[in-house]
Amino acid sequence: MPKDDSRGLFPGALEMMILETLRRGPLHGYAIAQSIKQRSQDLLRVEEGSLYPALQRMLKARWVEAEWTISDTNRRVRKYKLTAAGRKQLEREISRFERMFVGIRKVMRPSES
Amino acid sequence: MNQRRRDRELLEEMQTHLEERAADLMREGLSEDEARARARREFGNMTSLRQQSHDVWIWPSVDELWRALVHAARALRRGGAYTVVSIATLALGIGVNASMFSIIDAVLLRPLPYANPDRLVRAGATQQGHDEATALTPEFLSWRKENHSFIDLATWNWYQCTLNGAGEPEVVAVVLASGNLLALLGVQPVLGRDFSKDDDRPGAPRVALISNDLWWRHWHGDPSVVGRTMILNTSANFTAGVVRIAGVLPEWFRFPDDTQPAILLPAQLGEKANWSAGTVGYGPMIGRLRAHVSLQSAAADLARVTRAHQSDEPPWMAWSLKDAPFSVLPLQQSLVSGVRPALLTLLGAVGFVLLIACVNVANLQLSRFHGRMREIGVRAALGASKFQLLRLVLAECLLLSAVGTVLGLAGAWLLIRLAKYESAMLHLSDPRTLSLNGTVAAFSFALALACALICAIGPALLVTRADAQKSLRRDDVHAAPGLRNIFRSAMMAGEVALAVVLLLAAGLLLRSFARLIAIQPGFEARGVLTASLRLSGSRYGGTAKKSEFVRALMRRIETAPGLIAAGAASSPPFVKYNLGARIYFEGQTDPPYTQFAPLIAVTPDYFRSLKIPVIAGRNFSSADSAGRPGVAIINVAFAQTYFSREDPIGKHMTWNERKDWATIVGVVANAQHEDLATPPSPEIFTSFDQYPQPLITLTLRTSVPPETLVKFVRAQVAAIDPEEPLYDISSMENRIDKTLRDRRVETFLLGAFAALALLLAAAGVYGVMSYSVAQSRREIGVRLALGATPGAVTREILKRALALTAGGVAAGLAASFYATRFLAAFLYGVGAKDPLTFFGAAAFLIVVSLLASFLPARRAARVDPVQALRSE
Repeated sequence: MPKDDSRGLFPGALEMMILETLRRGPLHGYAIAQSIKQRSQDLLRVEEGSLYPALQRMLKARWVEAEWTISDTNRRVRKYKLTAAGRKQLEREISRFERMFVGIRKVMRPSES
Repeated sequence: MNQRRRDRELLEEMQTHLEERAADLMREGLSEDEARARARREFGNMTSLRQQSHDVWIWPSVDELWRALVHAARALRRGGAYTVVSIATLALGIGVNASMFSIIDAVLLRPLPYANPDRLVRAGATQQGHDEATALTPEFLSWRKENHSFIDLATWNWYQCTLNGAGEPEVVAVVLASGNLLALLGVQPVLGRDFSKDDDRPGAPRVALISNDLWWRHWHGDPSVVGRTMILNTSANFTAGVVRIAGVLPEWFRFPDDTQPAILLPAQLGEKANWSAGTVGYGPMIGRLRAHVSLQSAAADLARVTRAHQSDEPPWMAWSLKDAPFSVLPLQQSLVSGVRPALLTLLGAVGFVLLIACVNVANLQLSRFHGRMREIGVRAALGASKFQLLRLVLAECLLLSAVGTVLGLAGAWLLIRLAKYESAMLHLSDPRTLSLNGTVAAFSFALALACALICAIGPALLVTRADAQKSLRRDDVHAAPGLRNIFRSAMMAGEVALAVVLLLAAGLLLRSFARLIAIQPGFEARGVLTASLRLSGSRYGGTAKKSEFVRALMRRIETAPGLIAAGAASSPPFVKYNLGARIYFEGQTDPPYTQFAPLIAVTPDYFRSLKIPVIAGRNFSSADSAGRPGVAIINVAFAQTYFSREDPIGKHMTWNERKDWATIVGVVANAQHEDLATPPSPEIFTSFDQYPQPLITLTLRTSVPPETLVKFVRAQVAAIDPEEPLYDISSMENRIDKTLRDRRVETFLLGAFAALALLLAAAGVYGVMSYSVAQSRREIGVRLALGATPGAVTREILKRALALTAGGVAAGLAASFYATRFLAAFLYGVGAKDPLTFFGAAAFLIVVSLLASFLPARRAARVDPVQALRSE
């Protein structure tokens, strides 16, 4: 059974970030990793490699599709693209995450709510 | 996509990632080596990540399995009656198989409860008139000393003794075993000690090991029983007398023979082979094979030792030893050889029942999926792959058979609980071994898996051939693709064929049984009570005392209320012969050893008590007493064997080395002795007063129910001698019935399985025909509209059913022609290819099949043409 190796993240967070990243268009593995890194401003420390088992899981769940193409740097790369199911999953995840986030904030700073 | 390609692509992807990262880092100013190292560090453990990615595809996630299961459950629930009937059918099939297998497991498969049981063998020579290998005492001693194949050999012999001096006197089974028997088996007494070498020396004081059962019955489990004494009275050729108890056997201990002794004594055979007649006895022999010794080479070893001692054997032994084949068989195999064929036959029968059940369920599922073709079409149109559709079918079939199996196992559990009360019937030495254990459960689930796969074949073919567009179009939903109908027809014919085989087998057994119970035993069993006595050698030595006892007892019994006639014999019908001798006729000094007949000592009223007619000459009378001229009566079989051309009355004969001649004074009709099937053998009857025997069985004909006399008879015996217990009390009808027990069980079970098969096959025919009618509603409607009469439509449907059934019956008869040979050993008076049974089974199935098709056929005739044409 695959175990979740994204240390410091809640289960499913890595998948959610990948889905979010792919919403803007198809990307290959390294580009996804760089994008997540930049946008989190290195706050979330993730082993870059754990991206790949996560992508395989998402391929299997048919949230993403993959296609081999030639990249800008002229390398043969596998580009991942969000599917309809993936988009729906992302929406579900976001709303779930937001609910959770609101809840956490209420607990952490009860005076502000 | 295959696994290797997936892995290769992943590796390429990961390497590209590392290169790109390293390139970026080098742009930031790191050296190439540093950049590569850091890229790897940031990436993490590549091997483990690859493994994780790999696992993603191998293992379906729990989530996914759960979802498939929930989907399947929902679909099955929507299936309604289809699902209920399918599950019930599978539960029935799996249930009977699990029950049957648990019996097989307990009787045939479970290893014997001894140390290293797989090296234990039953060995010896197969003597004339015996089925199993035995040893003669002197042979045993030479074999034990001179063989190279066995770690050790042990033998034993059976006796019956009267146990006195320990509460109620009782007749018990006693085994005289070589002192090494328990050590050879690797069994220890739970209390006290095993026999020592000294105990087994000839002339040593007798010690005994007692069974756990006897310990509880006579000493109430008192541990101080070790060292106490009991008195064993025997009538036979060994004397025990006062015996000290050395130990108690474990409760779980099973003696390695068909019956269980209450007491074990050391045989005290000594070291040196002695062929004097008094010490020779036949007995089973077991051995523990040395490592790497094969069964064949062990048998050859025994033959070698025997050859070396051939000159020692006395001439009176030689005829029975000549050419006796040596056999060495695994002990387990030899212990179960009697029940094995019957159990395997029954397992085959329940296998057939399960196959028929499976075919029915497969048919039901095919219909259910056929009704769901539009849903399947939608799924296919929405992009479900063939693989996904197959998975759907498989998940539903697996769930169906899993539920059926659980229910079937629950039923089997109940059946097994019931079967435990009939453990003797099943030849279980220990009823506790019969249980629904892991092996049985594993067997059942393996069957369930096979069933699920069989049931999935039809629907799988259906859904993978489904054309999304076609099945979405309304008018094509009920079109009948040829493939499916051929499939259904084949399944229907197949189950009819299986049912024919089972019905035929049951029919053959039933006819055998009917033949057997129709046999006249040669005497009238109804209204006869039998009860046995064994007069102790120590108190009834000599002939006069035995005669006196029997005369006194008969005088007392004759006053019994409701008594018609009272007889006594050393072995009446259905009591084992206990006496036999070489017969000498006048003028013969050394007759062949095969001129041998059982001897039965009887009182004058014996023949009258059993209503055995005296055909020629006269009966014994009270005048034929000791000191008067010797007389004998022979049965018809004896007369036919030895006096085929002359009148036996008045002829003289004697037996063994007796010097006094007996005159044949009468001939009586044959009576069955061992059982109903064995033809009667030549028998000699002697006057009890002239030839008294210690073993006596009373035969009391009564006008009241025989059992009501038991108390009275017991009191009369106790009044003469309270130390002599009456044992083996039973009505004669019960004795006969006991010999039929195995056959009755086999016939009943096979009959029940055949009935089950027939019922399932009828249900299957009904299902297929109903479906076929429902499918061709429109066609029928058109024909009715064009003027066909309802009768013609009915006949048409029945004709279709008949054609399919006839095909199945023909296949079944052909298979039976081959299969019934395995039944030959169980048959009596009926050939394995008995034409009447073959014809009967075929006709019966055709009738049943037509009856099952009648309802669907009538339904077809009642189709309203207008509605049928409009609705579709």
